[in-house]
Amino acid sequence: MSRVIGIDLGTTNSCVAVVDGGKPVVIPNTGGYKTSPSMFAISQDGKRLVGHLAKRQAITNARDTVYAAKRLIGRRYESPEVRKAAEVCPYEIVRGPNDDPRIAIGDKTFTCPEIAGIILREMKSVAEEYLGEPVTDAVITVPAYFNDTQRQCTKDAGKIAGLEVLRIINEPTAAALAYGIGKQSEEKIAVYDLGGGTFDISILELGDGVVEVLATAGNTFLGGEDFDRRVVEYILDEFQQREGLDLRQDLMAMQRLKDAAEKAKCDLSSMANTEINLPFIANDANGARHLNMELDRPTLERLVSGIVNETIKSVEQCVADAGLTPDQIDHVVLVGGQTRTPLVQSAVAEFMGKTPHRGVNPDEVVAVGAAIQGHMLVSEDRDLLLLDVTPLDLGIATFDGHFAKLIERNTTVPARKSHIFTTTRDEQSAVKIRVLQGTSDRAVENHLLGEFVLSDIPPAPKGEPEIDVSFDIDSNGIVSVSARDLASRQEQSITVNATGTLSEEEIERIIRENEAYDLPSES
Amino acid sequence: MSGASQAGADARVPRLAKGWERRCGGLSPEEGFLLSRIDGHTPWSLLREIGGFVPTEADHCLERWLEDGIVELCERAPGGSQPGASDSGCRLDPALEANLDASLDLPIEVQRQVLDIEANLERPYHELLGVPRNASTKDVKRAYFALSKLYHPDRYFRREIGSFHRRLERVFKKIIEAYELLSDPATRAEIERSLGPEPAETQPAPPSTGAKRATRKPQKLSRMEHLARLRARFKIPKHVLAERKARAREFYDAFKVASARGRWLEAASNVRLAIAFDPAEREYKRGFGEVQAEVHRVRAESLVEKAGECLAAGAPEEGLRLCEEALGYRPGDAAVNHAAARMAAETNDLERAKEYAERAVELGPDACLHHAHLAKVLRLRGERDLARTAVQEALRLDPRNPEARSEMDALRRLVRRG
Repeated sequence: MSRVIGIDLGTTNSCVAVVDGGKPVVIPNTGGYKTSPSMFAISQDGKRLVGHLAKRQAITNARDTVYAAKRLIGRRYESPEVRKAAEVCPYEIVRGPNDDPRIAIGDKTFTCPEIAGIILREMKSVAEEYLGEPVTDAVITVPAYFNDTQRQCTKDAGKIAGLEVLRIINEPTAAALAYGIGKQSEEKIAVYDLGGGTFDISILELGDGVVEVLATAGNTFLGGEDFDRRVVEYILDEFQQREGLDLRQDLMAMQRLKDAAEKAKCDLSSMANTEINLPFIANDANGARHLNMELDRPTLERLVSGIVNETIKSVEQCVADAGLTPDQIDHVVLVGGQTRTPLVQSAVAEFMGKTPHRGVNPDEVVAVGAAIQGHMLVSEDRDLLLLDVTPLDLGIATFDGHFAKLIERNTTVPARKSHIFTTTRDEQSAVKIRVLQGTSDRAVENHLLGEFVLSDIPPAPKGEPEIDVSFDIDSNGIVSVSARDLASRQEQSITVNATGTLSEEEIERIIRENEAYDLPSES
Repeated sequence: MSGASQAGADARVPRLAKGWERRCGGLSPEEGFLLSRIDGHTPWSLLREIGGFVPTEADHCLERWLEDGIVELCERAPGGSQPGASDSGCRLDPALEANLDASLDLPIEVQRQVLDIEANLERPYHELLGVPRNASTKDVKRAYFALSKLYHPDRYFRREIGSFHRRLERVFKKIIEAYELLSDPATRAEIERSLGPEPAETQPAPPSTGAKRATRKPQKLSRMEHLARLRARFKIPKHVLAERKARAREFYDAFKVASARGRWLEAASNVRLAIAFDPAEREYKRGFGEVQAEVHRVRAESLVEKAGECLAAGAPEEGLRLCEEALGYRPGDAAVNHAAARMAAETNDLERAKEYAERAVELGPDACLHHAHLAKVLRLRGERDLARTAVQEALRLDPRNPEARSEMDALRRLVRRG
């Protein structure tokens, strides 16, 4: 039986791990790197590139290099997040037939699950290379705050990559699993996960062979990329002031700037100041222009403190949701590359009243946790049981535009809640239900999962039929709906019009198209 | 996990002492609620977790009442708990036995247990988890963890267990439900009430639960049948009922006195206690309706006042939120609507401001300020003709009102500008 790999499909970087000889191992690629950039490009001569190779040519081929596709997956084209991404991305985002965002590079248009699938396929090959055997099963992680559509799309991406996704687990929970395995003590921990594109905070209780999530919160559009963005904006404004030149329209300059900003940000985690040096950044009537400026830590902290404060607000809410106070939490675990920033560490330490635990590798711990969960699912080793929760309220839209909650957020999954529906007109033969996920009281502000139609209701006076509709959230956090007519005890026919996900046919088509490609990622 | 070995403190059961009313002064709402739940059946461990008190504060309050002779402790035999769900070696109804399948990758004993639980999903939550009725939240959690490790579907992921995949899911979801409802003090208290007194006190304990349960046919109960079952188990001894009624009458008398003196909040808390002790008496509910209106008026007034303070402090959004809360109490009050309209205008939410201003005018058509403010909102929204009508009405009511006059001037300037 094939082994189960754990994949951390990150916004900026991805990582793959497996349990080998009873111990979790992070798998390096042939170049020796333990993480690979989540990037995909089509070179000028039509070659497909993934991972490090894609990143290396990103500057010269900005238009046809995709990064941070995770920020778009499962969203609608008109959503504010996609609009925001479109403003800064050098690659083109177009509207797909399902109102989903698609990416046009080379001469093709790719769906977001497809891009994610290509990256997953890369991680799959890295694992196969290392293990020397084919790999078909995986556990993939997602931000805890991902909604149903985003999870479905990630699962579809796995399918496209040729993987059977045994479980979608939440990133903080995976980290907690990796942290807690082998520990005997009972403790309450907070996992603060600030990655490239998303932020999650989870409060968990470990002990007695169980990892239980008490509460979770987050922001699926807040991460290291936003830090970079603030630095880039600062550099652009400074440069414009000094040289009178606005570099925003120059794709190559912007890509160089983005790279430099990211590097400067990382440097400032260990140094007090750094230099940003980009010669020949632009050309104008006066000749070649060079960019050379200093950036010090206080300036960086001033630029990003707003973002950090946002995260602390979520932490505050989550701790309250768990029914705890910060001093009742024993340890704080930091996950995600962005937590290397001293400002982040001090802000978290200040709020929690304790220094964060330093024993885990923030870039790898999520993949390790995923690998452990995968191993536990298929083997007899059941050291820890994972009790995770759904992060968002699940409910329906009422006729006056309100959101009626059926399964509250932070309910342990798998969960099920039933609700009895009836007709409002005599002889009504169908009832439409709009299912939403979110945290607002108003239906229109929440995310629409789909519209369900109960049809073939036998004719009866209004208010008489009793249809018991069950809403289920499975262990992946994915929603399904089933219905039963209480009078006849028959399964009621129910059709789903799920928004934003690919149909079976589309997935099949994409798999077939991608089979032809064998992607090089390391020369 | 057994209840009998609990530390003495948790298993104590308080009841109201004779003559308690004479020794008891005015009660805060939290104290009133706690007092109404002392009935000689609910154990201390549960009382400390319900109501508006932090558990340690509830402890202090109860200790104080013990000292003051308001409350005394009952003699109580530790409640016999129904054996837990995971009885090994229990025999099932033959109809269920037929579902066992030795060829599955699931031990026969576990299959039996799953079938047993599934057949009796409607049994009381504490029985499902296998804990005594007075178990602490910690013990409930431990039981839940122990059962999760047995029945979580992940344990049998991908194993050949046939129909048991579905069964395990159903069983596990019920276990989660039991845990979540029993570990929340408010829902736990409600469940306790609906279950009535412990069977050990009013009926002989049934023999070994496994066999007894096995003869009950597994049925899917409709909601009505389920409620009827709950009602049948809800048996309170007659003298307890009589005591409660008497107490309720006392609280109602106190309510009448307080109402006559215009002390609305005190009257409200008294009549609420009366209803808590005797929910069937309609007279109390009517009394509540009367005082409710007054209490809401007082509440709304204080909220509007606080909103004014927020506005002065430069926080109109908070002011708006408070006004809307006040509207929740008195939606038909013109002054509250007017205040909300002002707040909304301050936060630039002109749509809401218009809604509230219109309501204020509708409810209080004789107040010049209502019309004047409506005119202002309409002017800001660019609806000049309507604004003009409103300001003219305002001036008709009170030609000298400064706000109305300045609004008229503002309109004239606007028109002149074209």
